[in-house]
Amino acid sequence: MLEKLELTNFTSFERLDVTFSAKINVIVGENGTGKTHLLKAAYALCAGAPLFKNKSDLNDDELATALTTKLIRLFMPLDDKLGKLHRQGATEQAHFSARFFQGQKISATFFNNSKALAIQSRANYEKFQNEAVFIPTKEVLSFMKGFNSLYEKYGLSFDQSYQDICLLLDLPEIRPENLNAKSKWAIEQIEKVCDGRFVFYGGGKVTFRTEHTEYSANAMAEGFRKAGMLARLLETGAIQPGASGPLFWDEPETNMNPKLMKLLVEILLEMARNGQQIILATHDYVLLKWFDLLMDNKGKDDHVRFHALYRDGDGRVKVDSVDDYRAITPNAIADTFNELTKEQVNKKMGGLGK
Amino acid sequence: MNTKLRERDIEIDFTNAIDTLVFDQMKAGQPNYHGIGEMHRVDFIVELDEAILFVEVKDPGNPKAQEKGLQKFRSELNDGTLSSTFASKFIDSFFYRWAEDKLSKEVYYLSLVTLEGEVLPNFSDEIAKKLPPAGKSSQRWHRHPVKNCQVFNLETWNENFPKWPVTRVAAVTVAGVKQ
Repeated sequence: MLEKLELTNFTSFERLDVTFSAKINVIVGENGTGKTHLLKAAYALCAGAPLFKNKSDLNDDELATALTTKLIRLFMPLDDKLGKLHRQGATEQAHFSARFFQGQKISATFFNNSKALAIQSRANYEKFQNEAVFIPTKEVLSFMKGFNSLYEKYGLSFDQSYQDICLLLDLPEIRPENLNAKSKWAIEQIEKVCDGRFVFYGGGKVTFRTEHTEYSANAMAEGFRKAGMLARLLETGAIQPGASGPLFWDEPETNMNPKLMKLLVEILLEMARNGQQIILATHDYVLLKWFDLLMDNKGKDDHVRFHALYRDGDGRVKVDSVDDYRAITPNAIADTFNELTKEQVNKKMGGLGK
Repeated sequence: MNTKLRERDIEIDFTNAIDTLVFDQMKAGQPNYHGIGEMHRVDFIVELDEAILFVEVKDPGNPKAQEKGLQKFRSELNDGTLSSTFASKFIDSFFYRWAEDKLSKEVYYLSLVTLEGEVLPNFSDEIAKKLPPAGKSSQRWHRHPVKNCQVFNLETWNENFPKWPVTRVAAVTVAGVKQ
């Protein structure tokens, strides 16, 4: 689990320290405040887990090369140059570091002309072996057939989170006896609401099967395809509450109707109760409000931490982390609703009360 | 004329009002006694030079609110009963004022409900669509019964209506007895 992330002179962040909850983290903020960048930077720093699984004696240079590639593929900077991720106008090095709950640490630096990261320090980083999952904004079930080979061969305009998720979705199902009871429950709930299940044949071929017939996955609503991704990640054990690394999810609300959203939040809370760390970014009031209403911080020891990204008077991106939705300041989502109120007054009150 | 109107702990000062009325006065013998318990009633009616305001106040955000009352409020908000009640209050009050021949200006229905700002636009629309003509348009109508139906909380009210400041006032206690 990720405990703390520090970013200095990295993309749009001059200096940002985020302390995460071991349970649920919700990142909010206006467009352009770096929500996705924050998720991707954290995800990139979790990339050591699969590397050390394959080669436990990775040295600093090999690690730096692997993390550099990961960053470039996730952020897709101009001309694939790492230096482009250095904050524009900054005179000091870019620096980023992560600390995990079991005490493992990694920190790395680069400058605007660096070809690769330099590992500044690491402590027990090789022991962090819980692989993270990143669910990007767009669902992938509609285009994952052949996607991986295309991605390997051509310079597609998809960042690597899309390849990573396609690979995880294509894993075989874990043995039923190894399937966590809560994962099984979540899969059943998703199947119930979708009235069927997505079937994965390998090579990215996906269909949707109901009791009587089988359809193309593309015939299904996008919201269902998104929920289907979560069900599959649980089915393959890519997400295994208590064993897998953090789950990053960028705008889960995209294409989901509010009803599906309630189920999603119930599932996320249940996963967190069973040891799954969740870090998501959202613009959606309905999602926030479901967390507020469904969490049980007394009986079930739920914890949701909200991280609000905003720009201060000088345009610097800052973060304010609070444990109560109502305490978020500034709250771009609430501000939008207040703007609606103001606009209706302007349109319909004809200056009365002013 | 008193420009300050108070509903429990909420006080609004309609500084530019030419007349104000506690419309739901149900104590016989008091000025402006309403007297028809069967009709729903808004809390206040305020007359301005150019308009009439119907004002309804609900205070679930009161720190003194009891859990049981809050649960009822939330459940009525969720199942649509609350918006129906707000709509009935407007319609019956409108009817009453028509019978009094006091509807010579355009009417605005402004509610003050101490809820999160995020739910207010939706709640405003929910009430508005329950008011005649229920979202339809009738070619035969020459007048519209309500110019604007909108719900505010303390913050958005004060932000939008600087001439009608609202405050939460502490209950006055004399020798430990709430007045």
